[in-house]
Amino acid sequence: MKIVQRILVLFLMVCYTGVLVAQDNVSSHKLNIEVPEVALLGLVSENASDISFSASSPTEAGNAIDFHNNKNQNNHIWLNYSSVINNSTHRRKIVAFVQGEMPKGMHLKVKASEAEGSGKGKLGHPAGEILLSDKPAEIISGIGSCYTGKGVNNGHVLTYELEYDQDSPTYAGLSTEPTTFNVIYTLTDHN
Amino acid sequence: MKKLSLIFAVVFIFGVGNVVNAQVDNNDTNEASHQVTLNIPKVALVDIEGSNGEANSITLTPSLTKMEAGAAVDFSGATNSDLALNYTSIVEDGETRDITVGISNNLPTGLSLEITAGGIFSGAVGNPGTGRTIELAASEESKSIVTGIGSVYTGIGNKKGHPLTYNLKVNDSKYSTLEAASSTVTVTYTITGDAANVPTQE
Repeated sequence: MKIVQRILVLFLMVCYTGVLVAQDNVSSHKLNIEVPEVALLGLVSENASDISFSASSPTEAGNAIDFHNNKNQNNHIWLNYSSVINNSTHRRKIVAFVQGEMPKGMHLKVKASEAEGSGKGKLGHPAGEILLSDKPAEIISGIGSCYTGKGVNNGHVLTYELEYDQDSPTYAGLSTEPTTFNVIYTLTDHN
Repeated sequence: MKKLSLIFAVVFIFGVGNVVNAQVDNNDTNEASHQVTLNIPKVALVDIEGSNGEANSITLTPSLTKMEAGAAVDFSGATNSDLALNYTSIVEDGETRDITVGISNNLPTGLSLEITAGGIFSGAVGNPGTGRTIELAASEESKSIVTGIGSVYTGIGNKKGHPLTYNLKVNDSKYSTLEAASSTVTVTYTITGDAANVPTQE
């Protein structure tokens, strides 16, 4: 009987110590941290984000019409984007394609600048001058977790250039009817 | 028989001695006193309370609502103010305690955790400590979040003691290391100094 009592006392002492440890000078709780994936892309410009190319008439009979004078008026569209990737090797790119029909023999080229402005993180690199078509073409690559900053003068500025084939069928096909089409930009995962 | 007489004699002498002593203490008045020894144990207890009692877990996540392309993820929405820090302390004269806080694992690269122990809620009795704001990112660092605690009890509950505010922050210069992921760390508060309730380490 005495042995049983002793065991009981010992057991109670152990329990008591346990209570002290559980209730003592330390307290903790769990903290969950959730960082969401982000992929946002926007086009901004000082004015409307529509652009138009108007060929200037030649001043001298016998010369061709000229699109080159339009270069400067169409370079005020900026690509803004925000990205949070899901692992350290994950990269995104921005592709562009033409939606709608372009006049035959006409070629629209676009060039993105290096990132400027208040952006931070792993910003993308421009692919140089790219010929746009109905197939997505890579404009900017190597985008990690980053943000370009919002609005004009942040991100990559786009410069468009219109060219046409200097051949007879193209020139013969030129019409004064305005043609409208869209250029679609997509921030997408590398495959 | 002689032995018995001897014992009797000894008892008698003791008896006389006692009587003599009683007779010597003849200065009784209407006052009498005796000594009382109070042993107050040193106490150091800390606890984190949520709205449903003991806190188990909180979640910090930034909101992407209304986020525009080009903007940084707004971590100011990754905040929580549900918890409070309760404590009971009895110290020796002149002694004070601190409460330190640390995390079990490193935070994801580029992120840090800001914890603010706000001003003491009403209901504390004694000398509570002073709360402050600290920032943690690595598991090996532990920082004092409440200092100068005397003998005090704060009361129990998430509206007693110091309100705790958690903020997740992103280091802009390490934004490129940010990864979309969920992770869990354990946040541990420790009240410093020795106490009867704390097993001493030898």
